[in-house]
Amino acid sequence: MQVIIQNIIDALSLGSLFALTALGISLVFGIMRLVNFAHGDFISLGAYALIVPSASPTAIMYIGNWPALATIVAICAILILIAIVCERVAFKPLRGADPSVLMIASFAVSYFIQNAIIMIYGGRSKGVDLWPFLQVQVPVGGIRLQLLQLVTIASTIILLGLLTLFLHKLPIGRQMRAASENFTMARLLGVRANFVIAAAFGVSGFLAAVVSLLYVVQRGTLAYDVGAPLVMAGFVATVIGGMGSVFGAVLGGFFVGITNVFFQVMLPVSIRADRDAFVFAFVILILLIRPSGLIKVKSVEERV
Amino acid sequence: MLDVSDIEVRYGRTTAVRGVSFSVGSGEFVCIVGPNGAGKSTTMMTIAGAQKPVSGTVRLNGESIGGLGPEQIARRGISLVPEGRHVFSQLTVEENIRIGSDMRRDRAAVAEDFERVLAHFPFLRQRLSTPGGKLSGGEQQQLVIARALMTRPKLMLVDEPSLGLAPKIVDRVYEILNQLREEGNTLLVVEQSTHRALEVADRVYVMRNGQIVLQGKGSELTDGTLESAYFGFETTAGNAPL
Amino acid sequence: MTTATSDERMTMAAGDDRPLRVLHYFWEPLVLGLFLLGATLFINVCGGTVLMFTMTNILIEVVMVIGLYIFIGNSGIIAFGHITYAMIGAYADAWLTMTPFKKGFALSLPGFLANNQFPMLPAAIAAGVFSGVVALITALPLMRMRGIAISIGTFAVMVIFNTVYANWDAWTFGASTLVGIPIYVNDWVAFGWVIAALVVATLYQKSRFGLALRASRDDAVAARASGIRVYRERVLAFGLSAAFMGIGGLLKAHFIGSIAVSAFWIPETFILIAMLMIGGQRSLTGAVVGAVAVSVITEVLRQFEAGLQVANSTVQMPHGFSELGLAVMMLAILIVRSSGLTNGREVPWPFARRTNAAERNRAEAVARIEASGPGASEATAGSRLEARDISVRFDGLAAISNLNLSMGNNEIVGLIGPNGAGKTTMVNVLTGFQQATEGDVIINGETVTRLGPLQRTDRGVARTFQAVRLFRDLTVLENLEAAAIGTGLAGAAARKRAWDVLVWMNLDHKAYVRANSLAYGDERRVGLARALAMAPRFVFLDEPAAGTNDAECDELMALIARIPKRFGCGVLLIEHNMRLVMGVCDRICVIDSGSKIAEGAAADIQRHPEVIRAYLGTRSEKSRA
Repeated sequence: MQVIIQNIIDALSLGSLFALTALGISLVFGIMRLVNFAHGDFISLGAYALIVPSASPTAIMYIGNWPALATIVAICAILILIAIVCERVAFKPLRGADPSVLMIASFAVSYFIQNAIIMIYGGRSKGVDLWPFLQVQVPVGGIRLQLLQLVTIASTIILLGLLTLFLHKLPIGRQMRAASENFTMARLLGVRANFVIAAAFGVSGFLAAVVSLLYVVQRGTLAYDVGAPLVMAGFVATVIGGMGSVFGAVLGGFFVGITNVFFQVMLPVSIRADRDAFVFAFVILILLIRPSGLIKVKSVEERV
Repeated sequence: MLDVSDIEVRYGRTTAVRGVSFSVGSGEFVCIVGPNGAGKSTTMMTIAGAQKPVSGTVRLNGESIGGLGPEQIARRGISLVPEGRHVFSQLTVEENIRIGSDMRRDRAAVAEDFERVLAHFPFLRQRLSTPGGKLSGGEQQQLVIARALMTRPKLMLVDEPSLGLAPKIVDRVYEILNQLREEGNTLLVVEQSTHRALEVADRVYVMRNGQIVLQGKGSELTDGTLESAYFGFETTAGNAPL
Repeated sequence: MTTATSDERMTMAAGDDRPLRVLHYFWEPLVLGLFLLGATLFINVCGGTVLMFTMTNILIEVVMVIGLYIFIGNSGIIAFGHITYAMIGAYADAWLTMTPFKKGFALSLPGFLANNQFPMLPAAIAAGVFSGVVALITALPLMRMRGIAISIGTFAVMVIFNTVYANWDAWTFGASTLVGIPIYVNDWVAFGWVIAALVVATLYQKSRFGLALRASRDDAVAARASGIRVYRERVLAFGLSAAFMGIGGLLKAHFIGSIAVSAFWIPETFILIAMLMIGGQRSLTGAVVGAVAVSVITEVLRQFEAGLQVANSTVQMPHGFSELGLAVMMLAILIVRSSGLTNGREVPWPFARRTNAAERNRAEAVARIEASGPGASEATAGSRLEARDISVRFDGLAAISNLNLSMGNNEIVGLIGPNGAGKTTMVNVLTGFQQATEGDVIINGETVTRLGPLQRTDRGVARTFQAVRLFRDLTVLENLEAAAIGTGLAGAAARKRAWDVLVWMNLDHKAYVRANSLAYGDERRVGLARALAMAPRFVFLDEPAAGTNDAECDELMALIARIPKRFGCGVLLIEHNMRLVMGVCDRICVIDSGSKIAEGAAADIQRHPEVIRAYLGTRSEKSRA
């Protein structure tokens, strides 16, 4: 019983991180048809921003040592800024370009950020100890669960709620949704293109910040590609859920989390490490059957 | 109010519109008619800023708006209801309507306009939380007009409001457009059905092959001149009653 | 006004110019090969070991970028995970060429591999083929996807293979570095393979497969409408390109002496794509230029990392500077000039066009036209196209209701009606781009309703597009050749037919002009020519007179009028331009709101009150009262 509940919590906790990542990717894709490879590097940057910039093998906490609330605010602010700057510098000049050109550009941004991290912080992974108080186990009902996982799941639920309010109650949210559907029509009604795009990137930066904090607490290590497995899972989730569908991204994220844990539990130990491969093979299968993902949204192909 | 002077618009390397000049005075109801591919929609899109003219000027109340982006032109008081309606199907009816007024700062006036718009289209009041995509064609057409009205435009552009709609619904739509004109709004409408245009419009322009080939007051244009302008040659229907 | 390729000047050279033609065919490999040869020789003579090491690296990268180009350049689809085939090739080759002793140390391979060591060259070829075959298999599902899904799919495939290889301890030594691979690759070996890659890439892109794929790159929809098997061409190109990635991978292995799965990951894939994009993804020259340019610039930047003497001081950039530089270069090219340094062009051909063959083709075509004229023959006489009771419904709305249409291949039929009447939908139904909800399409007695566009073109159906949709980067001649290839012709036969049509339409002097430099009027004529190059029995022209003035319209009229006699091909004309329709059609069908409201000769239609009402509309009920 304990095991089953633990597995469920594992799946939900993992799924939460994937869902938040996928959400960040999906928001940007919906508006600009840009598959942002660099999203994973935003997450990495958020993690690295916690320490003193130095190449030394031991990490010295800096922002990470501030009161928890201050740390959160600081990391969020930093990533929102970085996301918006990236958009201005790299993507704005390419507005309207082919989706594959945009994807390559995001690839370049990703490469840039990764190597910038290596340059500033050194290429070796470092250990960090952020908020160790979250590593404790708490008794829930008759079972002991990890506080961090509960916090992850809880914060995801809260964030999803906030985001839904944002998208549905605030004018800027509804403008973003309108722009996602039909950018030109939105502009014809006075919606400012630059503003809406910046907002999308800003929110995506914010989501990356949350993910990076939770991930760092869980992992305890910083590496220049710490965001890579997340962004890959994020892609998978976005594709499965249907590119451009915010709801689908969340669904996809939890789906990947569940699948991942499922494979971990069910696969024989010998090929358990291959489970990433299985998850990806699954993506291809889904793309074959339903190229637009599980939730039908705008397709990215031509009509006669 | 609107002064279009000698504009040329290209799609890739096709010249869709060339040497087109016309004007719309404040309070007027002007129609542009013509066969397909004549460049009517292109002209509308250009005025609204979704297309940029290669040459020529577009002036709104004297100010040149030729190269501006659509959101800037919208903020200067031009609102386009494009061909095909383009309701935001994932947004509710209310959200669709409110997007129109998002760029405005005058809260009280916005609230007033919201009520006024619902008075024009009472059926919307019941459907406020319905997703826009679930409305019928005729309802959507009315929704997008309502949406455009929320921008409190100085000039409203409507592209083919009757496309794909049953005649009775088209009648209703035109009733509304007429009402708007009576309330003092300025309208520029592209219309498929020439005769309907002649009935409602103060003035009509006929476009063919990217150029204006005929213009005049509705009452002045006979069927014969209209058809030859439209088709490019004389039809033998001449002045036969329709 | 038109920008001709350097191929446009035609002169009659005396005698057999076969050597010149061969030179022209292999021009790019020759020039690029000589350039690299020069560079390699120079380094050998003047450079030290370090430079030779770098040169070998560059040559190996060139092999891989050429491999990448074979797919991306010709198909226009970005493959993000191609490096994984380099990994597959490298390991396959390692299995074949490592000594049994060293193999036994790290791996547990099956007997056949564990106990044998094979000679280098056959093993290399085998490993390359192996990578190609694996890629082919992965391409089968991948190429069924559309749009950006394929690119994401290739990325997913890379992760799959890399994950599997990283955990497949017995065969790959898992995530650890596999050492003990025999080193035999030096700059000359690498150079040899570069030449092989250049030659194969050239042979491919000038073959009918390459041409067909390049057509689909420019416009996949028009390619399918021209009969090109886009899926098949993409799969083949993918396999071929992966084979060279495999070769590149194994060259690297035999150069460094060791391999690890982690060396075939995202940074490496980025560098390859950067090289191709910066050089210019659309040309072989671009691939080579990109590889060399990026390698050189990266080297220079690395020198700055090591500390370089500039003026009186030492400039030292932090480690990682060259990578940042590469990322910035890549972004800059995408923003400023997305077609890359070479702008998608190949090495310019400095001589007059290889003329004799071309001139001969043209002269023969002229002779054929003057001699007999009609391409119509008994074989194509009496073909019949029928649309029976066609209905098409979208989401409950009827776009077409019970439409009947019938025509022979000796007629010109017009299809007119107001906007939204359903004309384009009808053409889509006839050509297979749209399935009818009810009703049948029958060609020569065969019911083809459920067949797709490719099967329709096989049965003699062709169309033009309102937006023309030429293959922009191909020449006019190539546009027509591609269509001829789509109907199953190859090589000389395709070219012959292309020339026939060009001469007939008076476009032969524009044969070597790139399609995107044509004037609009010529563009539309080439669109028509391309459809005719399929030797169809029925051709559907979608608003061919759009944007024409009266004089141009009359020219078009004269052209269309001669099509049935000359080609044995019936014409269905969808038009708004009444001048054209009334002037050239034998029969006119008028549809409104998806139904036929009139049919008859031009004179009758012109005065038909229903027709005029449909176009001009009626007065509203109010005023009729």
